[in-house]
Amino acid sequence: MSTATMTDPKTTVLPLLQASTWPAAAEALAKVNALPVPTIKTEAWKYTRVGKLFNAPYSAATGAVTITLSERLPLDVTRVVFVNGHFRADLSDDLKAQPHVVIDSLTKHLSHGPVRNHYGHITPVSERLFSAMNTAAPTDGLLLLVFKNTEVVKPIHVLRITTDGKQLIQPRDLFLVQEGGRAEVIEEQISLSGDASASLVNSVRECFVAEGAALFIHKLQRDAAAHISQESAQVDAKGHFSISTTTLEGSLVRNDLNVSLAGPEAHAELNGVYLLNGTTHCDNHTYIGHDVPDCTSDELYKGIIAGKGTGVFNGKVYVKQDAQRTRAYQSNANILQGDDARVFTKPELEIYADDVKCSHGCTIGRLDEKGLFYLRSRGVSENEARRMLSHAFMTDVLERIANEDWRSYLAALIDAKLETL
Amino acid sequence: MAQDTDDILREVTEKEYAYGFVTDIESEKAAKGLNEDIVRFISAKKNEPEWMLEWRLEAFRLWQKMTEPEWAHVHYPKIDYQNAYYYSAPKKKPTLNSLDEADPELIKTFEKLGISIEEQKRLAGVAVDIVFDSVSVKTTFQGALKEKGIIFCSFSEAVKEHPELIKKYLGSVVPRTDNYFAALNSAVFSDGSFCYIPPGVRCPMELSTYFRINEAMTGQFERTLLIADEGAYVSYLEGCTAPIRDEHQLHAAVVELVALKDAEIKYSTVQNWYPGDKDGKGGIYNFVTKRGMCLGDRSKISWTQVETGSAITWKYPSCVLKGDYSTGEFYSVAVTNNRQQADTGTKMTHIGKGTKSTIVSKGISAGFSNNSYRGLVKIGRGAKGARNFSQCDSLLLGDRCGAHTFPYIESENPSAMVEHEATTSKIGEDQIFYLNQRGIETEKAVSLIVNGYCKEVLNQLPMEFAVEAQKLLAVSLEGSVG
Repeated sequence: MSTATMTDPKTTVLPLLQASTWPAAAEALAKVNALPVPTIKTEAWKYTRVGKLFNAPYSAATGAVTITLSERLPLDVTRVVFVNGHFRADLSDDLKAQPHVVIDSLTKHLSHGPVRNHYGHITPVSERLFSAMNTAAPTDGLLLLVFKNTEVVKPIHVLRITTDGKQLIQPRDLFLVQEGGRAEVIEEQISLSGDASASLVNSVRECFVAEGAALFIHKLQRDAAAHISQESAQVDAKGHFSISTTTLEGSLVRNDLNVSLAGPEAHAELNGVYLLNGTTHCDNHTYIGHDVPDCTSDELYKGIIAGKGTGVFNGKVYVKQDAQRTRAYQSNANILQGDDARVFTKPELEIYADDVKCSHGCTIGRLDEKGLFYLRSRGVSENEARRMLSHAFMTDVLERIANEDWRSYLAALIDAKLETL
Repeated sequence: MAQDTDDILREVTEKEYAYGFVTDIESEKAAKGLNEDIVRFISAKKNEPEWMLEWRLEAFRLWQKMTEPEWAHVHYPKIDYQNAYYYSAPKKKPTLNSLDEADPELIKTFEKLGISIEEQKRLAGVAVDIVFDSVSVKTTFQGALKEKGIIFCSFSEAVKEHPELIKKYLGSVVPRTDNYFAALNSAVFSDGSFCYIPPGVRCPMELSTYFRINEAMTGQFERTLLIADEGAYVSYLEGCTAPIRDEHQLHAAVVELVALKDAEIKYSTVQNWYPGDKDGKGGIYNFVTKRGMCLGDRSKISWTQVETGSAITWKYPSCVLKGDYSTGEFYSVAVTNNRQQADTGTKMTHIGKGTKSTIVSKGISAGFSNNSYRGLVKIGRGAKGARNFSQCDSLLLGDRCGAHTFPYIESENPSAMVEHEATTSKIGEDQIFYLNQRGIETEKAVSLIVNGYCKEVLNQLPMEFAVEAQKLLAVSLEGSVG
């Protein structure tokens, strides 16, 4: 039990977390020192081993890398590029094209009022080691500030690139959408040049969706590095927060998503797709807090796990006392392919109000044998039939994405990935 | 006319425990506290052989190294294990041939409960092994069972008469290291029931044990072991009530079921121990480990429980599906009211090929209570073609109670199919309205809806028990809330 004689595994990261000038960095560093590395005995990390992330020392994240950018997305977006967590103005589009919208590196705005008033407010630094690590020394991140009643015209494409080496990259974003504002963000994580699988990307994002505002986030994970993320959102009255997370590549991926419905009639929509093969381990942890009456939430996560992949889903819906007339739906469906694929799922409901309609469903299985037979009997090859059924399995999650251009781009990526499963 | 739902709610939530009374039987108890000497004392009291004592001592040593589990969604003050008695027995322990010889006080107790032995005897030939406090006092119908080769006796008797079976199966399903309360039970268990059904025998009657916790500040540590040999069938009933006590009472029972090839065990429980008063004072702590092992191919174990009592329930009747094509079932109704807390559910561990499990759990919470379903469905790598279906529904009666669902689902076999669904809601006003306008008053309407809601589970109970279960639901919830 005692670890007193062993060296603290955090020594692999601690040198990189010292003397940061970011807000609350010192307190967070103290927390890092105090908190142990979670093990599978820690309930929140029961199915995800993170000990191996602390096996060898990391180097600092470097932004000054020559990059040849991939093609632009086939839709009209404002592109913002981060290389190993560092903002790269030279690779990004003109970010000042639209008035009443701030899209910029967060570092430059730390002393500004709206940032000061929100930064660090909804991140669980005190009990979550990775959040404390990030807060102790963020690399940089995106500030998105949408003024009252402003609609961001073009989706913002946040391209995060990881290059080779064993870097500790700690992106830190702050999204503020003021009353009646509206924004759509596409976040893409990719790796370029060499082997990035040794790096650890430990990100934290805080989203504030004010009254009547709407924020849509599409997250696409196809980066070889280990990804640990904490995404928190606070949604005020009549606000709308929607996030879809698509995981296609990665060694170890852990997405913590924490949504608080803080004003009446707020709505949250959480969608997820994970297609795993190789030894990819993907763990989606979601928490939806219905803190006040009359809020709604809808959650749908679907995955196909092949090879030696592992899929983990832990979704919790919490309905506070007096949060009456809550409607919450949650669904998780998994298809296992291959004898070494595994899935662990835990949909949870914790409810303290009586006038509620909450439900969750969860399935684990394989592709419908009857469906396969039907297609085979119509002369469709086995592989083609499997692809068709897998594609169909993913359709209802994809259909929830309102942005059609993005949806068809994503669908093509998913189909390409399905070919490899 | 239809009563205002708030009034009905108040009436029900403030209803005092109807079965609270104390039977005055002088008892013989061990000194307060727990140490190796107490374990030796208990073992000596039971005239146990040396191997049994060693087994207990080993368990006690293991227990000392363990820590009390804290993961359950229940809150209670720390238990002082040294401030409890670990053995008490009715002083007069008669060996009875007929009811006439039983202690009249005891008979009175059962009559007050409305489960008099005479009635039970008449009712479809139910053999009752009465456990009054910790010691088995009376066993009926033993003759009829003996004819079939069925062994149904108190646990301490089995230790003496059938040591080979005890040695083989005791702790084989719930090992001493399993958890804190199982280890404690293994060290200090007082008595319980033992049952063995020989190969190919279908037990001609439902076997039944009635529990009562009767001594103030007495820990109650039942140990039940039930073995169905190849092709055997048995249906076992367990029911309990307990009198009002101010001091919290700890109950840490262990039930082990073993089903060999083609055997089937049906285990039904109605639990109505004292839940504490409406402010949460007193009541039983029910920390029970129940597990069945489907050891042989095509064996089947089915748990049915109706849980209405206890201040705190911590109970997960489970099935280990080891034999190929074996089946596990769990049907549960858990009702919590006032300040009661229940964290209950099941574990289905699929190991064998083609194993099947079904979970149906219905939680009803009222007052200030908290009711959690916690379950695990685990499909092992070898469980080819395994199948599980789980349904967990919660009904909330009142806006100060909680209903929670914590299902763990793990699959490591691609050919397995697992389905889980859960819902939480209150009784629809439209349903009440519909029944009201058909001339059914709110009280009856709620009762009707709750009964319908639980029907799937209640239908699983044997006839004799279903009556009592419905009576219990009626007492605690009939005409309750809207």
